[in-house]
Amino acid sequence: MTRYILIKILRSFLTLWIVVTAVFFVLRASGDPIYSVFSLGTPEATLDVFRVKWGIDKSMIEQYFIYVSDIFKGDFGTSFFDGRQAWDIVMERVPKTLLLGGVTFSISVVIGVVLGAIAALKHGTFWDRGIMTAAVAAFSMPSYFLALLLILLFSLQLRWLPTAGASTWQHIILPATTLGLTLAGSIARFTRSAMLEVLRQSYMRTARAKGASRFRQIAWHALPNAAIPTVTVIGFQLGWLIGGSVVIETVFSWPGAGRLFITAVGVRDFAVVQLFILMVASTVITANLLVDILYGYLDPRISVTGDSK
Amino acid sequence: MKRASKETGSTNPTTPRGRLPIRRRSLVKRLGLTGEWLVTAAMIYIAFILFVSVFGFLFQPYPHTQTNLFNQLQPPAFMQGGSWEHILGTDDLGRDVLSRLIKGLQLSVLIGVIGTAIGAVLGSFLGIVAAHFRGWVEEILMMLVDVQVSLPFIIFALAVLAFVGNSLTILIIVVGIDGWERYARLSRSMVLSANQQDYVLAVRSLGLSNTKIYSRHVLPNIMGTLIVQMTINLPGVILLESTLSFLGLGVQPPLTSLGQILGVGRDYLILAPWIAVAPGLVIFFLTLSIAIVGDWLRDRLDPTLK
Amino acid sequence: MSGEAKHTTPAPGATEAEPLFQVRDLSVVFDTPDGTVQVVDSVNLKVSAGRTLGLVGESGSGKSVTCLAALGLLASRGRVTGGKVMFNGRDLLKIDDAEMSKLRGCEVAMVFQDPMVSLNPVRTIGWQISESIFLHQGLSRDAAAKRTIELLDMVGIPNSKSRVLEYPHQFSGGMSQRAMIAMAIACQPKLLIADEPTTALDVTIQAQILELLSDLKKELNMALILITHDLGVIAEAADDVAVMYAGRVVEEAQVLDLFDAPLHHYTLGLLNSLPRVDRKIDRLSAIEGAAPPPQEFVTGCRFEPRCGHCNASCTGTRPEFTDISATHRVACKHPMSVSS
Repeated sequence: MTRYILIKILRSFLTLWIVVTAVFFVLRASGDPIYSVFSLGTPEATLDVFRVKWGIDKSMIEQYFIYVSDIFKGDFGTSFFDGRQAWDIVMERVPKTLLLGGVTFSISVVIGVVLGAIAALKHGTFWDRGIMTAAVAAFSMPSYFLALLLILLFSLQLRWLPTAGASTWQHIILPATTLGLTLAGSIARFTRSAMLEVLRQSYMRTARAKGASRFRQIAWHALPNAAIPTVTVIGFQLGWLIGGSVVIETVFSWPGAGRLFITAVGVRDFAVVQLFILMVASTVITANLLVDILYGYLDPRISVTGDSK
Repeated sequence: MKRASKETGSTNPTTPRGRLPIRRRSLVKRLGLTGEWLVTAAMIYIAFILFVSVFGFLFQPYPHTQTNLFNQLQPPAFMQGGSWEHILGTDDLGRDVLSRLIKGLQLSVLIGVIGTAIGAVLGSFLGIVAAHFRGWVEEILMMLVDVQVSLPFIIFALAVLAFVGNSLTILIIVVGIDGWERYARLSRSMVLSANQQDYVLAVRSLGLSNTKIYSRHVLPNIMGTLIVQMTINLPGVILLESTLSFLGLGVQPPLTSLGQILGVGRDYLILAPWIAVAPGLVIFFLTLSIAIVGDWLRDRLDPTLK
Repeated sequence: MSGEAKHTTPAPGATEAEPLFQVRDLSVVFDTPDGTVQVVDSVNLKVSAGRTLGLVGESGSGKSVTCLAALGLLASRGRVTGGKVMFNGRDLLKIDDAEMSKLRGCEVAMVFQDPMVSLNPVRTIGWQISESIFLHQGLSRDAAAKRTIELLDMVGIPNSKSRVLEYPHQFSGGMSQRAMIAMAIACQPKLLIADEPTTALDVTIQAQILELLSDLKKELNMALILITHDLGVIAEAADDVAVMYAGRVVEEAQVLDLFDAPLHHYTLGLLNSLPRVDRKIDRLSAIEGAAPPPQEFVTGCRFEPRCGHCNASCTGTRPEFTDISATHRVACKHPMSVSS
């Protein structure tokens, strides 16, 4: 098990390194960063001063090695725009994103798992069909369109909730609902299919034959088994959640890191964009690693035999 | 219960006499569409959308770029102040919303379909290559899959489009890359298991070339699953393009797509909600319909895919 | 052992007059997408304490379904449409779910075919066995743990103290089936139904499991129903036999009578397909054709399409049982002559 996890961790770092490298070169390939700040007519002498100052006078390979070694020193580069450390710029936005993501994630997991389990237990009934149709509708809905509809209804028509910003607790309701609905929809689907799979296993019949109550069959026999695939899938949804929050933060003017990313991308703020992508990738990779470990913990078939399923 | 007059399912020709009564399958049931009015409706809607995106130009009332500054933000015909000249009203520049919708739909569907095809071909090819060569080729591919999974695709797409610039070609390529890793994983594992099967071993022992083995024997066998996967991915690709365009980094004027119209409509949500709502509903019902049909196809053709 | 017995033992004489477990005219249908099919058609079975009823038939003959239906364990698409299931003077089809839950795993227990998939993969063996005890006997945690180890010893699992903490995947097929049996007898049931308990196991293990079941039956004075498609298993372990074909019982007899003088042509076909050391046959004969799926069941004698001894009278109406002796009866209009 430890060997298995060690290999996983090594692979994670390798993945992260590839992401960092690929992003660095793709972004640099787009042209001289100096022109993202200065207009074309600026005298070369001025440009050269700034090139030296920002370290972009060197060759791309040199820049890359400096960038990577700086990362190990905790230096993620400087924004070309306000001269501040990219780390500071991103980190002041992260708490708001964590707040929105955390609220959304926890609520949708609860709603999704409960609805998915209900659909599976009432398999083939009106409840099942209703919940599943709603789930498909939820994740077929373009999130930005749902956002606009909710704004139209709750903010512009009913005037109940604010549309933009993050100053009061009411501000989180609309963005969290928009993001969460889609997430809950896909979680409900996965939970349902995992649960259906478990419910038709022979050991569920054994539990019934033992005289376990319906509740006991579900809570003590079915759920621990259904949790194994569901946890994996929910873990993978985290990446989706981050991607979605970039859009939603923009629509609702939520002052989080996602909206910062859209702004930074628009003005080609290299350091900020690179750091944001690095952070997103490490978050997703860490989450997948945790899911792997959790998986081994939930499924005794893995934890004992080591690295094979 | 009706008495069965016809045989259903597998039959044993030696026992034609005195069957127990069983209920007979109706035609709708045989097509698998009983109680599946939702699937039927979804199919009709998809057919309609395809028709409009191919032949829409025949019904397009105005050129989608024709502006009329004297007739800005006119409501649709069914709202107060609307007229039948602009059934779905006009936008901020007085352009006909219906015409823009038809034009935008065309491009959205086109990008969605081409993008999905690129992803499917690219991913399946890489998957087959990995399964064929195994070893370090496979290792590299799986590493790339890990990389792709670690970065939410929309973030990658936004960064590339903003930095590298966006022409329609770049947009289609970027959108096309989305989901390649799913096909790659799928085809890799299917080819790995197909290579173990007797029929492949048999044709291999006959000395057929690899190209022929894969194109004539392996690919036809995994095609069904790949097609189902494409149906499942298609809504995602359409949503991705529309999201990018909504954020202003996708389709650029004078071209237009559904997401782009929505992006414009966002600024006029109070004054002219129809600009945003009309394309939004079209996309929503389109992705919903494809998802419903995709689920139905998966259940019927390939229940192993989840 | 008997000191801990919870249930009062029934008077030995009473079991002779009134069997412990009796299925009367039980019919079961399945709702399928193609319509409703009847898979069990007016089946009668009985078994008394201390005896083993072997229920034999090909797969799809309805033998498992009969027993699952009797215990209310049918999958949701199955429905009982008629009949009675008498157990200890009560009709199991009439009691409510809560009462049935109390009964299942306690007075009536079941062992299933494939032990590897019948045990919950994420729970330890010990957890699963002590759950039965916990559910029905309300013992303390320590007492239940102690009893679990006792049970494992009883079914012949070595190193029981360490193995209670292991998971099903660490158990071999034979050991899993022993654990299943331990779970089933945890509350000293009066009736144990073993549904193909040896089918998924190696031949060498099969005999051990059958022996274990027989021993436990004697030790606990249980009634045992042994469902199998294998006449070899019947010969080894059963006292009485009911032969099922296509959802109906076609012949009932004591085990020796059945092997000596089978009356139904289907029974004979089954026997002829069995290799035997006491008879010299050049080759084994198989029954022509295949067992029909439920949607192709005919209304008359269901074996008629495959039977070489039938005539027009066999079609149309269901053959009634003919009593040959007090314990031997057959549902066939042209049975094998008793003399042969």
